[in-house]
Amino acid sequence: MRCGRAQRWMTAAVDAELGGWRAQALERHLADCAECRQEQDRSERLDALLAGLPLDTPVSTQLEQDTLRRVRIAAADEAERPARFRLPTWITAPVLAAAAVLAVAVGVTRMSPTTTAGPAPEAPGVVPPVASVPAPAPRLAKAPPPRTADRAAAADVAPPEPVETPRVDPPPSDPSRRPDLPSEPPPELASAPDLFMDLNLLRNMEKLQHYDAIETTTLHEQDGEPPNG
Amino acid sequence: MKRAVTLGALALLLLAGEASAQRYARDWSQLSPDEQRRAWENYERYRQLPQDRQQFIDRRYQRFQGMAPEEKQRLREKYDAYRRQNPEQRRDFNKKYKRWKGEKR
Repeated sequence: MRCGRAQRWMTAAVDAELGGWRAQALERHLADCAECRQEQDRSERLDALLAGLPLDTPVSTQLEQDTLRRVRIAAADEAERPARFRLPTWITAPVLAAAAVLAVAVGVTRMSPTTTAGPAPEAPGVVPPVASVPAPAPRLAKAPPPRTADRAAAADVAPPEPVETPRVDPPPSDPSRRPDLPSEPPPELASAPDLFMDLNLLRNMEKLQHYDAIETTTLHEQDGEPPNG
Repeated sequence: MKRAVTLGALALLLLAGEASAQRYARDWSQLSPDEQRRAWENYERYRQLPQDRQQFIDRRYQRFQGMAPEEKQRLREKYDAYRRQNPEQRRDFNKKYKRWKGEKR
C-alpha cells in the first residue's frame, strides 16, 4: 500500500470506522512504515487532545471570530506558499489544528465571567462559515478533493464524536443578518437540510445504534490488550 | 388471488415507508434560524471532508432516513446521552467502542 492511501485510511481508522481487509492492510502498512506510524500516533494524540476539551465551555463570538480569522490567514498563507517551501501536510494539518485549539483554550481561560452561554451549534469546530455561497452542486455530487489548506481544516472535522469543542454564544436570530451567512442556501443544503442538521449524529450513528452494548464492554487496564489475555 | 393480495400489501407497506420517510424530511424553510445556522455550519464542515468521508455520511443519511420513527427517536436519545458525557466518560466510551468494534470483527 502507498503512504498516500494509508494516510487517507488513517482518518477512518481513528474513528474506528475502517473495517475488514482495509484495517488489516493498514495495520500491515503501519508495521512496515515508520513515517506513517508516526503520523498515526500524531493523529491519535490530536484526537485525545480534542477529546479532552471541556464539553460546554462558553466562548465569546469575538474570540471565536478572531481565532477563525487567524486560522484562515494561516491556511491562506500556506496555500500561497510556493510548493518547494511548503511543509508536508502531515506537519501543517496537526499544527494548524492544535494552534486553533490552543487559541480557543487560552481565550476561554482569559474570558470575562460576564460572557453568556446560550444554545450551541451541534459541534462548533474550527472550520469557519465561508463568506460566499459555494458553487451549487447536486446532492451527492462531490466537490474535488480538498487542497492542502482544506485538508488542514478537514483534520478537525474527521474525529468520530462531536469533538468536545467549546460552546459559542447564541447566534443572531436571523441568519441572513450575519455578514458571512448568505440568506439563500446552496441547492445541496436546501434539498437535504436534515443531513447537515444531523451531521454529528450520522457520524456517530454506529456508536449510537450499539450504545448499550458498547457501554457494557469491559475495559482492561492496558488499552489494546485483548480481553482475558 | 392470495398471492396478489400479499404482493399488494407489500407494495402498500413500501409506499407507506417511503411516505413516512418523506414526512420526516424537513424543508429548509421549516428550520428555525438557529437550525439553519447550525445546518450551514455543518454543511461547511461536510464540504471540507474528503470525498470518501462525504460518501460515507451520505450512505448513513440514506439509512437514517429509511429508519422507523421509533428507531430514529431512540438514536436521538442515545445521541443526547452521548453528548452529555463528560470528557472522561467520553474517553472511556470511545475506548470501549474501539474494543467492541475489534471484538465484533
